[in-house]
Amino acid sequence: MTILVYDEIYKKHDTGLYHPENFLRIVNTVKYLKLTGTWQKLDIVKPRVATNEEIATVHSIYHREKIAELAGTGGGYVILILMFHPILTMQPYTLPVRHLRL
Amino acid sequence: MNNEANNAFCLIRPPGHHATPTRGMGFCLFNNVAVAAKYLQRKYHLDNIVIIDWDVHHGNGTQDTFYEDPSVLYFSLHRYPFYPGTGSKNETGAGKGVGSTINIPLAYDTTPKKYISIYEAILENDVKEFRPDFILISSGFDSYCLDPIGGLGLGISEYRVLTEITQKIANECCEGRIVSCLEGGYHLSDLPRCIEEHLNGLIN
Ligand SMILES: [Zn+2]
Repeated sequence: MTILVYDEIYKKHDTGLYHPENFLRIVNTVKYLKLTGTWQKLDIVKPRVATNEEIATVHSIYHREKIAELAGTGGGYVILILMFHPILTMQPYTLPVRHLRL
Repeated sequence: MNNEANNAFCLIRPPGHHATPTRGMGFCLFNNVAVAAKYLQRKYHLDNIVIIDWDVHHGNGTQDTFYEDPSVLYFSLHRYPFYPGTGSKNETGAGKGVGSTINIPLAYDTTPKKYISIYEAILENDVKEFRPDFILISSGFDSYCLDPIGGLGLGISEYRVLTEITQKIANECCEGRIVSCLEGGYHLSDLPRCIEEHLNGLIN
């Protein structure tokens, strides 16, 4: 079985429609996969939130705080980061940070 | 790891491979794949993780994170010279990590055939010899020929070929364990088709 990790919340990282990295990338993909039937062949898994400790394995505290601060000025949205569920295999989880307009 | 699934694709954004330990850049904030690699090592005590990056851009953030780390093999094929400017052939790691970074810079006019043959050769040799316990893919679809900001000649069906080559190596080395994470890919109508081909390769 192949898992597809997805959460509606990935749509909410708002970069604006004129930015190439915009939410239509995944909205269109989900629509298309449902239409062709590929979506139905997958085990759709909703990720969990990553902890600060897990993010700290790669990123400095300064980096995390800077993004949280920037995101705070951009509005009440959420961006997500992928990580893996401690118990279940390959279940990524997510970090809510406020929206950042890039 | 608990045999609940064969492999996984993460339909996530924003991408992550340009995010370094200390800064976000190139649409990336946190390095998803790097955090995943660290998690796998800490949680499951895996010795060797391979990160394959077929996004058209060089994953400077991932490279930085593991540049001196011999336990993570970072392998990237990317258009060069191109954003972000890093990823020349002689960037191969530092300290104990020498040899655990492989960069294949490619000219804009590289054919899909050549791309695939280079990819297969690195996987059959360097990746296999590294004895991976887990393969992560930084799966960027901006190496698709019509991508508006990238482009490196790959057609839609090439993503299935790349996936099948990777799955074969994963089957031989690490019980098929692959987690692939979306990075770039900006062609709004063809990105879904590229992703579907990748998924078809994983499903089989
Ligand atoms: Zn890219």
